[in-house]
Amino acid sequence: MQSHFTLRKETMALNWRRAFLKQAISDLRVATEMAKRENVEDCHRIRYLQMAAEKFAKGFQTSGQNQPPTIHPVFDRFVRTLRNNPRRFKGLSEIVAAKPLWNRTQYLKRIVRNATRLVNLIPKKSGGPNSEYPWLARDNQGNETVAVPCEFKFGVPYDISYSHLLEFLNLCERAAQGEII
Amino acid sequence: MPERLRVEPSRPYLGAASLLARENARSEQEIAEILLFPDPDEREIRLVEIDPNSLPAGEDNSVVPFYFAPDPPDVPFWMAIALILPDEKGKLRLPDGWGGWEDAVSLYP
Repeated sequence: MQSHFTLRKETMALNWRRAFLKQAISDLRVATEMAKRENVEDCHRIRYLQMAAEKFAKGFQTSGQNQPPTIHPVFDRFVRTLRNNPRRFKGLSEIVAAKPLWNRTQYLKRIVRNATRLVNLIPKKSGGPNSEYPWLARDNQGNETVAVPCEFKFGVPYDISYSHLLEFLNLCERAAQGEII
Repeated sequence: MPERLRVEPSRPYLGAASLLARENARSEQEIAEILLFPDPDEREIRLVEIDPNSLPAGEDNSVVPFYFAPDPPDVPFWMAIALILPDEKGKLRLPDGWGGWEDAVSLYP
């Protein structure tokens, strides 16, 4: 017979995947709202996409029994893994099956490209453009200045397709929904 | 030191793992090699894919798998899939319970 402690520990442990996926879905709802609003700066739209994306990736980093590793960020790694294994991911498998091989490859490459751009804008110790904290930069005359995320125009090479990433995160939600009910 | 007992994977388990490896090699043609680390309990198919388009391992130098839910009838097992770079093979720390690099079974090419 299992002890109370063992049973309790297992029950709690089994919830890690569900917990991360559930939080990711909630973050995605806010990211979707942010994308619709016109009076929201780009940095906030990016930030909520990052939060949803990282939590989906972390949720899929565990089968449920263990807490996901604390490595960060993991979304671009997750997307690359999906690129290799698209047929076994609900939602993505249907999209992939419906496309000719060339289009399928392009579609998956585009997801990887957007994921990499999104992850590159997560705050890092090294500084540089990111969605959250001011960083040291140079103005047009080459003078040092402090850049502010809410004033920064995230154009080339930081350009992110919100609609494409939202579409992909909606697929992640679809895959997750079947598991968290 | 006592020799570790090796249990041969069952045909359904090995069949599903081989199918998954074939599918993935078809999806990403630059995959150089796919290794299976057999799960003695046959709950998970554990694959390491050696892919030059992967990202370098993090500071902890470990293999980081992602877990996909079973997809019956073809793959009625959990799938744990990790991507590594060619020069990381045999060097990274494997997840707990996966055994050692010497336990790997080559599924591709």
